[in-house]
Amino acid sequence: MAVTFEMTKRLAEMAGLSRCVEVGDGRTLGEALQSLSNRLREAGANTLLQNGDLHPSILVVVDGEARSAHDRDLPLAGGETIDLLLPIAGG
Amino acid sequence: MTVATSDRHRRQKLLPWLDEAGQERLYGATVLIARVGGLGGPLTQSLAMAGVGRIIFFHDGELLDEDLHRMVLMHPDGVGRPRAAQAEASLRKLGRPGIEVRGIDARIRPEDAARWMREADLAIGAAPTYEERLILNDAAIAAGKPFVDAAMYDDEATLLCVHPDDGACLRCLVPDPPEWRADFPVLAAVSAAIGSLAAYQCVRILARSEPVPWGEWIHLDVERMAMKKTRLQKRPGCPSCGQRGRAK
Repeated sequence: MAVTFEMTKRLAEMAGLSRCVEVGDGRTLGEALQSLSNRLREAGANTLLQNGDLHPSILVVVDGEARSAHDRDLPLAGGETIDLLLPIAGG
Repeated sequence: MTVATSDRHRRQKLLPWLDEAGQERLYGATVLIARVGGLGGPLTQSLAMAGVGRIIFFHDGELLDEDLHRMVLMHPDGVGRPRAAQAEASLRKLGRPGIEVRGIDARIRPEDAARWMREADLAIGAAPTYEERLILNDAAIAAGKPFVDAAMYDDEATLLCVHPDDGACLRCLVPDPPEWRADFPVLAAVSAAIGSLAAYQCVRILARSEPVPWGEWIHLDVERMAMKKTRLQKRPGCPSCGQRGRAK
């Protein structure tokens, strides 16, 4: 059940990945995020991880709704696009 | 030549959501802002021109030539001199007669924010560091006042309006300043765009004219001309908004 993550431009730059990343394992949000975390680790994007998981300040948005670590069991139907938004700092 | 000022805001008072009462609130309002550079400059410029009565800002350091491509309140003659004094003079010229502007040549600290939030109606974060933005977030919530946060990087910009009594705050999203920092790339068109959008929300808040997107994180992708609006979740045990009401 493939799930696509769509990252903001800055996040994709920091990850060293393209803005759209498809992962194969995604029966739940937690599984999909774990697959993405593995891809980030392989890409050497360790600043985007915390204790092996996606950094908690990266906003995970499913169907327009913000999700958190408490939503790991959220079932995914497959084919979803999950937005990942990175807080930025600049003025 | 006598410059008539009584009708200066006539055209904006035609806005049904602003009107005479809202304009009077702007005249009597005080805002506290961290930084008046590429983002905060256009933002405070808009507020001064809209008639906000009192602007207190913190901005440290001397003007660099490389600031001039985006900092609209600065002037090439001022390179090497403190930014705060130049921005203060620019805002005085732009505001209505009697506008009070106080520019403080320093980086805001928690004790500064707490002191000025006793007088301010609204806190505004336009700084390039998470530290300054979180200081204002915390001080505004502790004082029971609203907070508007804006930031940009390259072609992206974000905006968050934090309600004094309800919903998520900036610290729910960013509990601690993250490690990812960089010498941010910036085009004035982008920093000014988000500064203007933030100014619009500030005017709405000061005029007490809903709707305001409280607790919704707005992400603007200028390259794609796309905007996403996401309601943030309150972080359980947030040390900032989780303490709401306890100090009142």
